[in-house]
Amino acid sequence: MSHWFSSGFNIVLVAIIFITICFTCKLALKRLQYHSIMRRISVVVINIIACFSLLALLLGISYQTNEPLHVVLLTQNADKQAIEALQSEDESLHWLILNTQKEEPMKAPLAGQVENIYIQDIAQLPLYYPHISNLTILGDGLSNNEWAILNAQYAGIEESRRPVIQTMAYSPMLGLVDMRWPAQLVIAESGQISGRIQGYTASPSTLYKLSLKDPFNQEIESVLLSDNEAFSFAISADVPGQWKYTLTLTERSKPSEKIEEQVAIQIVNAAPVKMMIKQSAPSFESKHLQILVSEKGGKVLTLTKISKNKDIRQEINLSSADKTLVNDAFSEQALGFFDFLIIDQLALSELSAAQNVALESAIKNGLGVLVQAQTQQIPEWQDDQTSWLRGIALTVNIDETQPSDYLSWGQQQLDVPLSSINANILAPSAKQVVSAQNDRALVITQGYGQGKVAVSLINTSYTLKTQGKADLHSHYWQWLISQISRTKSDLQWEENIITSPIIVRATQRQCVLNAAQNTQFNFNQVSTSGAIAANELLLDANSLCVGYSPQAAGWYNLTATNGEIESASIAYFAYAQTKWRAWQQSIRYRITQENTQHYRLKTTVPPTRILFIQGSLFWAVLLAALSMLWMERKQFS
Amino acid sequence: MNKPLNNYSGAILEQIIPHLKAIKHQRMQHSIIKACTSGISASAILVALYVIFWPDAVANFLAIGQALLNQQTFEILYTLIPAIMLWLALSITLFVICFLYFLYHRKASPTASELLHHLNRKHPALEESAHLALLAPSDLSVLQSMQLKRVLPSLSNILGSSEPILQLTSKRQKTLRSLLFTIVASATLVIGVIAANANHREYSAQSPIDVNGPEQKVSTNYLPQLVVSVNPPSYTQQTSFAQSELDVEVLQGSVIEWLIPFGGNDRINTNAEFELTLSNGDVMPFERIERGYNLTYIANAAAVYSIIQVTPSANYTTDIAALSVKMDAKPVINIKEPLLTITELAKNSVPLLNTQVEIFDDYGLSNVKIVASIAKGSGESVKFRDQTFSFDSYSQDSFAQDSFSQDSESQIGDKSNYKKRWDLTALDMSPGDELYFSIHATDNKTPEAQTSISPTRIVRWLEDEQEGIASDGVVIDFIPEYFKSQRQIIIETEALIEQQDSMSTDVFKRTSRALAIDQSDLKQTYGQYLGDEFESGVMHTMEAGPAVPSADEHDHSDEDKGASNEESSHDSEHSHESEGSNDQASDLSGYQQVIEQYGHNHGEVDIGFIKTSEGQINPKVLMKRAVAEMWQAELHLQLSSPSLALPYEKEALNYLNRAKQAERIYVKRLGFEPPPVGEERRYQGKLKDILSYQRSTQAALPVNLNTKVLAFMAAVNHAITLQKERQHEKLPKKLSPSERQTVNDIAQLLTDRLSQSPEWVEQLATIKRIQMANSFTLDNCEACLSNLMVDLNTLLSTHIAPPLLRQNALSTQNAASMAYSEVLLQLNAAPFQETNR
Repeated sequence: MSHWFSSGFNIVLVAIIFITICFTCKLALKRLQYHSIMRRISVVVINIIACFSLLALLLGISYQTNEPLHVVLLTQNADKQAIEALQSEDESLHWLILNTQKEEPMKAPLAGQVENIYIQDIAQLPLYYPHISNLTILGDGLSNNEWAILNAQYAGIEESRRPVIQTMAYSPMLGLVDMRWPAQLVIAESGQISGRIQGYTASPSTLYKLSLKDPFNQEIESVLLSDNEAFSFAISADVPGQWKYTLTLTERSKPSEKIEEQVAIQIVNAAPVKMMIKQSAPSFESKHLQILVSEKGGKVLTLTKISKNKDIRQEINLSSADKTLVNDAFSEQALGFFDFLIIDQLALSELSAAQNVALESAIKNGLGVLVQAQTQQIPEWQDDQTSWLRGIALTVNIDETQPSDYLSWGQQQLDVPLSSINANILAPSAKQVVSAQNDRALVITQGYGQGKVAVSLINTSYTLKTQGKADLHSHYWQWLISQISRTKSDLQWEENIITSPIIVRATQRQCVLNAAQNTQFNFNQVSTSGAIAANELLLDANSLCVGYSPQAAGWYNLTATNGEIESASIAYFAYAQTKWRAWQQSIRYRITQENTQHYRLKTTVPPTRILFIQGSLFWAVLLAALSMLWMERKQFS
Repeated sequence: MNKPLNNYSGAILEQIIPHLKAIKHQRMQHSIIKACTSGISASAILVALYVIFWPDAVANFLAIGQALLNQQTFEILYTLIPAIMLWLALSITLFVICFLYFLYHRKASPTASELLHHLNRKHPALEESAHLALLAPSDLSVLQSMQLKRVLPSLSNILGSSEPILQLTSKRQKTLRSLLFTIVASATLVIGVIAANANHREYSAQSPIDVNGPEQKVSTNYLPQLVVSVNPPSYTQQTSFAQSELDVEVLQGSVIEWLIPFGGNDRINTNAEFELTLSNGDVMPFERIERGYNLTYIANAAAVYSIIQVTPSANYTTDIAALSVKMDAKPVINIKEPLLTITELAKNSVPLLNTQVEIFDDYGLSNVKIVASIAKGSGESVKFRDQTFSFDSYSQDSFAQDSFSQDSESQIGDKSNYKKRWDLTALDMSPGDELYFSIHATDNKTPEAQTSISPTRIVRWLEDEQEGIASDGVVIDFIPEYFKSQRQIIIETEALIEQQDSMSTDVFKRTSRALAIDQSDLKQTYGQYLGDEFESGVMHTMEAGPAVPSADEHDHSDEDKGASNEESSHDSEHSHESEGSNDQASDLSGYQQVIEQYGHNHGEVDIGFIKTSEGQINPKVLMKRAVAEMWQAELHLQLSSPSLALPYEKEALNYLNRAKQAERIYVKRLGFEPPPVGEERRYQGKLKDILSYQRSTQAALPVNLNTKVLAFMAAVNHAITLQKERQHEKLPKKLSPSERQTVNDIAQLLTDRLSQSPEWVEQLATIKRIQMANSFTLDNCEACLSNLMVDLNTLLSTHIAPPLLRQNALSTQNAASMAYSEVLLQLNAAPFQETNR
């Protein structure tokens, strides 16, 4: 219908214009009858040109071709020499410049090119060229989002009819790539800033100096690296807030030329821990742990056996409601209240059957339990073994007396020895949480239901504190509790390690755990703030994710709220597009390489395509013709 | 164009056409000039309006100009060039627009007839008949024809003249003048506006900005002129100086005089009262004198201050200023000779000793003396004699203090070299006597001089001949003779091996066993310091691992009766250990028995001070190894095999020497360690003293320096982050009550700290500014806050890591995760049930 209409309309249009031109020419000749012949001919010709231009403009002039269409897409950092090489190789290439960032160097070699088009969005590519045979991507390549768009465009097309996409001329720039750091750290928690140097490929032997400065401009560490070498800096911050560490990369031979990048990390206070200690005798170990937890706002209940039938009960930071709840400490209800239980071997062996059942149930539901081994009780271990300790065996170590070990855990290693229980832990399915320098397991943990069960051979960690190393003592327990305790059950943002830079206007996605039906999200930054919609995850019904794109560089906050009951907030830093250039480049390149794998199949028959002659040309001709006619009337009459 | 209609028309028309063309040309010219004038003036006005009403216009121009000229300094030229470029671009655009407009709206060109009518009006000689030249002959009456002939010569003359018939524009010169005037006026407008705005910008960048918040009582007026005169204490011989800056750095004890002169402060009321408020809370009123208002203060401690006019109203105030006080340092004594604390002179050596001391003081010394004590005799008859000596000679070097301190002030200090030669005989000393001396140096500080006393040097004139002069070396050398004994044992062992052939077997064995006893004594002495016990061979067990005592060792035990008495008593002390280890049937390897017999487990052997850094073994380990080697040496000596013992003896000496070189000291175990209580004896105590079985406490969060500094830094970080994000908000955010409390806390903390660490005065000044401004935004001090944060960060001690809950990648109630853990539980339980079956 529309085709019929359009063809009918075209005929009418041609007829009208033909009649108009005849009429116009006649009138013009009549008007100019006393003027020179040249003038008359000129006016008639210009009128005809104007009419044809108008006709071409309205109808569009096109032709069909079967020639394969080879398009070159210029992305960021496209190499000038590569452009020139391609130009000299094949003059029929069609050039497209993805205009994410206007780059002057690209324009120069393409200045004389007839067809080069700036496209703002990769989605415009199929609009300009629907039947591409070959697409060559020059430069860094496309981002993840851009590939998603492009893939969606070609999703419905069978593979043999898709264009062959290849990449060329990637020239890596000097900078830091494959970066990785935690977006959020708790006070005094140790974190890692790691990454890799991307140097000049032309001079792989060049040495680079990389230094890390804290937010107060004090250098933390400095290393010498060669091209492609990985690095890792340990950081630990004490002041809550939103801070930026600075990484400075300099070429060793040219210290004046610097590349500075900032690593933004939010430092937050830790949520208080609820801990219970059950011990058969008072100990310095539990005493110092109790102080550590309670001084940080944690709730502690300590039960210490002082006679055959009597326990001393010490409650720290417990409210009246809490006290009522934990009145019977080994009830399921009370154990469900605590996040972490430390119990020594003797105390464990003396628990009643009912208490054991309650404890097992609590562990299944998420409680973390640390069993403190005792020298005298180790031979009793097999007899005492409960179902939740199954798979863990303790044997007396016959080789040494009173071992003294340099403990290591996570990224940390002690430089002072601590004595440990003279025993060995055998637990094939357990994870070593703390080990000695000879890899002897000192604390192991394994899962049981939702909870964690651990056995420790260390009961002298308090000596770190008495030696003036309270920080090491706290780090040791921070690590242990973070490995064993109950997981947070309240609304929280998923642990987030930054593995790609958050760039302004790029789409980000973050998730919260333990979300409810009424969980709402809020995005807050200077330029924009307001609610954002969430979409549910399929894998985890209690997780919700949000997609957003920060519109300005700087810190922004994401807040999730469950009504007025609880809320979780996290801060991220959105970098300007000019930051982390090398990292962005390497990500684009990697993603482009991965995606081009799906566009390798050669197109057998190039698709027929219709080419339109540029409308702007006719428009310019029409404008010039009309201008000349107007001038003729105005100036020369 | 009309066709010629009569005989004259052709000639007339030919004459008229050039005139018509000239008119058209003139009109075109006229349009161009009008467009130029309008375009230039309008664009200049537009540029001026842009500069006036657009706040960042000048900055934008400057940035463009700097980029174009590759210069970073602020020059008006760099601002003007882009502005003029903009003006020109606008002018051209507007010119084109105006030109097209004028072209469109221009008047139609006059026709020949109209031109002739115009000539009729302009030239009376044509008698209003020129237009007849264009009429058709048929249209002309006789009279008209005659008239035409009459005026035709005149018309030809007029048309043939070079003068333009129609002067549409004014004269060319006049036109060009007006165009030039327009350009000059427009340029003046653009440059003037930019210059005015640029000057304003420079001024606003430099001028002080009020730091007072609206809540402050005082107004924002600053005292226009104020003179601070400083008179350093006379003993320092420093010159007085005066300055107008309020931040002042003075020497301790300097007299500072603030003067608010009447001259130059015209607006100051002569009946006004001023007060100076110090950070420690002291408020001092200014005194009215002839010249103005004056206050004198003796600076003994660093502080920050501000001056406020209190009456008749609080009109004037100053910014917070820092009063930095540089303390007079005590004399520094550096004994260059003798370097060692103890100098020992051999009995037969020449009893002469040189002493050379270098003493430095920042403002000069007043007195230097040697205070000595001479000890004569020994035991109960020891006598001490105190005496004061002066140095024999001294030389003084004057030098700039800069070389010693980082202070930029150039001050002359005294660095003197003092020398004395001691003749011990002249002091009535004899071998066996000791001389103790120290140097007392007093500086010239007033009113109270400061005295430094050097560490004491000891000179021992040894009574007995020594093998060399010993010195205070590594402190581990607590019993030097034992090291020599080990060496002696080696020498004697070597001698014994050499003499073996010439000796009888009995003598050889006896000598060897005597050496074994010497080795045993030495071993025990070291072992005591290592916290070990030697009876029953425990030491061997501890050092060399589990080993069943050999028959030879039993022999040795039997022979070594001296030690066996002690051994039996010790065994009785530890009978509790062997009580629980009778069940030898279950311990076929005998390991447990050995452990319980010898492994007197007292838990930790030592109490710290053990450090092993890279590549170093701690001294304790080395000494333990030495003792273990001694054990082996003793064993072989007891067996009359000195040649087998010799390598162990040498190895023992080697370990001892290495231990001497180690950097850490091993400290002997201290304190009482009770024996472990057996399970059967536990929980037997009486509980009557226990009043309550339940204790409930609330742990208060520790409030210390760390927490205060942390709270302040967190508040500043929050404020800075917000400030950066809210740059568009003109008014700085005021402190909340909690923030104000945090700031007050840190201010108090730094004020208290100032007496000990005067260098914190600048930081205190910043905090006082925050208090005054009632905001963390200090407009006139951009770097202050970041500098303060850097300095406060140095105050923070190592932070205690709070306990953390376990992180999980999935929600706690995640169904899949729960189901998975259930399956795992069932899988784990299944093999256990199989085993039970």
